[in-house]
Amino acid sequence: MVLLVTSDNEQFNADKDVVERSVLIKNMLEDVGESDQPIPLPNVSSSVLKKVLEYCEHHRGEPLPSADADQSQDETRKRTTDISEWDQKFITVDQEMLFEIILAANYLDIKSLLDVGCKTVANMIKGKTPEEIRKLFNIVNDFTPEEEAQIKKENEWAEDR
Amino acid sequence: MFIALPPEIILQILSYLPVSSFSALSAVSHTWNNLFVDNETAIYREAALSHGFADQRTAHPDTTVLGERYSYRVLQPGMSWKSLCKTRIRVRNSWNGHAPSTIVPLPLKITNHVAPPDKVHHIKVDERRRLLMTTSQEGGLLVMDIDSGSVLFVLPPGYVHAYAHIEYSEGYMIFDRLDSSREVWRLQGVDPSPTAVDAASQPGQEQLEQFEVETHIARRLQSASTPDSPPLRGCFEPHALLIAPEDTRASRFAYPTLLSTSSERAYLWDVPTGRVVEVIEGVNVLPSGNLSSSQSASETEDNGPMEEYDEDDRSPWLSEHLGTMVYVDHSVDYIFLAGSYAVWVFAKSQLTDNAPSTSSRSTTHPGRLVLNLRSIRIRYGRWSYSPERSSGTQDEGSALLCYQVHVNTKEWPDDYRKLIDEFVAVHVSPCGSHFAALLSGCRLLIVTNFKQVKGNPRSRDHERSLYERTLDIQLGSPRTATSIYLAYEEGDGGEGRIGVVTSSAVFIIVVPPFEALTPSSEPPKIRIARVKSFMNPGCLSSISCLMLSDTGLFLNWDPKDDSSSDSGDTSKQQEWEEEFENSLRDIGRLDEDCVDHYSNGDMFVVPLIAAAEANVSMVYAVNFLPSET
Repeated sequence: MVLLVTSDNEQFNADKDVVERSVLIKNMLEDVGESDQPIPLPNVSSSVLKKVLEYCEHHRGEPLPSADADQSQDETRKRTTDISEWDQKFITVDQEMLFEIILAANYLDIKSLLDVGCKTVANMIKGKTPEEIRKLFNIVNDFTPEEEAQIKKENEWAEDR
Repeated sequence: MFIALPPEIILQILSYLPVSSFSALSAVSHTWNNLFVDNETAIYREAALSHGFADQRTAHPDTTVLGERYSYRVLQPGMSWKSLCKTRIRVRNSWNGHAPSTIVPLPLKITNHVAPPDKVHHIKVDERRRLLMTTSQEGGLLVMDIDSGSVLFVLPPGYVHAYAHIEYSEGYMIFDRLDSSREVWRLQGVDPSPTAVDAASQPGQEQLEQFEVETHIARRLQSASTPDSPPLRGCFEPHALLIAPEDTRASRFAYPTLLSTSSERAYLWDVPTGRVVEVIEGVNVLPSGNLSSSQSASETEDNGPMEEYDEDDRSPWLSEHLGTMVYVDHSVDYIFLAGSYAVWVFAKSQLTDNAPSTSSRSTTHPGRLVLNLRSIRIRYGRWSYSPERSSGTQDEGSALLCYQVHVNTKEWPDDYRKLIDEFVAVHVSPCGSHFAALLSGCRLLIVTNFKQVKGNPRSRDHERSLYERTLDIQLGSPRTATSIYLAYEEGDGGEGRIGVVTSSAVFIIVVPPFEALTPSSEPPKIRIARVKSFMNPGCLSSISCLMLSDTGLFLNWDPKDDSSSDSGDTSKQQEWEEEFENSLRDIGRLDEDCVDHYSNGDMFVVPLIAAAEANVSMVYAVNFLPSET
């Protein structure tokens, strides 16, 4: 068992093969060797770590992507924004939590979770108009109508037809 | 919050988005717009990779790697990733009828003394090398610069016979002679160290002599002074003479293999060495008796009792014969034969043996039939499509009229009445996974992921498995039009583009990538458009060539039918269009009004007598990347 300590000072006990889905933690454990020292995670809050551990628990035992497989994996990764059913359900959270999970996955270096998060955000944006995107992410429109018209004109070529 | 994510994460999110979402995001706020301006290269390189415009090897958009894929028309020196994306999306939109396209006669200009291609019979275009090759109804072969119209190389009418058929791929040009042998000519400089050609296929004396004369002329045409100047552009030299043991009519060349077929055998030639590498025998008759003996166990998962067709007395031949072979194609692993009664797919021997190119002896084997698509069904596929009558819309600047597409899905129908038609052509997709077949009654079939079709090729299971993967597209009424020509190409990301000529219109059908398609999928979304001004039925019936490239569709057309220009006879054009639109009413009740009936309830497509011949003598192109002005 490994002891993790979150930014809000909560302690989590988890199996080694679960937490080792995080490359960051895996490397730390390798550096420290056999030890009962708690591992501090100052960038992750308890509510987020709880979700992250739920993800790692579910996917325990699955092969980790190896570093040299990157290129071919990249090719297939880009072709699809499909998310498996369990992951889909797991990632159905409010926006704040979604971004927290993405940041935590990035910090802890859990590639598959980061992918799921990024795909989810992409799927939220896909097919939406600028106004709908503003509403979705609570962004203020700071363009003048002329500026907005100009930018739309410049990007006309990219529109789906 | 979103924009506060680290830039590398934002880039990853963008990599999952189509470019169309970029324009929406840029218009959200200044911060977002700046993000796209500041990270243009990184963002658009990712986009180019995810859309399949380039692959990981490509460091810059204008390198030689991309030169293998796109023509000079697409790639400009010093081009940015963004402009590559922009051009590729423009080409795609143009094929979809939503960006400008123009109809132009080729070559665009005539610049030197030789007469322009006239009485054109067959057309080949090498877009990357800017070459246009034509044979003539009166004999002879011309190679031209597609833009300038400069004639680069000529073989005279006395040398190349009238109505000669050319095949071209990767700098190798093959045309047939009257004695049914085939000459292979190689573009000069295309292969710096050509493979040694077998003794039996060395070019003939007449080829060598003609070459002497023609290089002399080509040098004069191109005003090259010295004989030792670098290889002349568009100039071909004799490579081989392929003499088949028997008369072989239909042929298809996709580098490095030429497929040529007699009525009973298929010959596969390795063109660089001029060697027959494989002979497949008995390709016109369904292997007799118990098929499973010649069928490997893996191919026939249903090893139960074979369900033979219940043929009536009238048409037993239908099940056993291919009929007159009308068109052939091949992929790396398979050959595709279209006969009047069926399309048959045979496995090449590479699938089971060692690659034959390593040995000098060819392998001869009875064909292993893996797919049997017979031209007798009322409905061929689970998904059926047709253009909605009078639904066509034309975007400003586009040469295409895009239709609303009517789709319906139907599980295997238990209707064993037959509708007998004939195949006109077959083409395998460039990726090798799907094929398109054209029936005379204006019907296009696309068999997706054909390698997954199960069952013994004689069984109902097989027919059913085929049905579940097939798109059945009706492009007009067999009562008023007949199919003429078929072409199949692929765009970026595995999108398919299929060109079909019937005697009432020229169609472009754009289909999505089919890799993930399964028999239970929703019907794939396809687009159907027709080239608006190509409507003269006389010209359409006479078209002898249709070719697609990345940015163009090429066919032969009558220059006097100028309905494509503004001065054209609009009343005639309107009449033809109305006739076509009215004929679309018949789709959906094909079995009642558009076909004839046998007394037992079976039906047949009535062969149409071709409309009056027209003088389709010039090359015309639909240009899907007209210059922006």
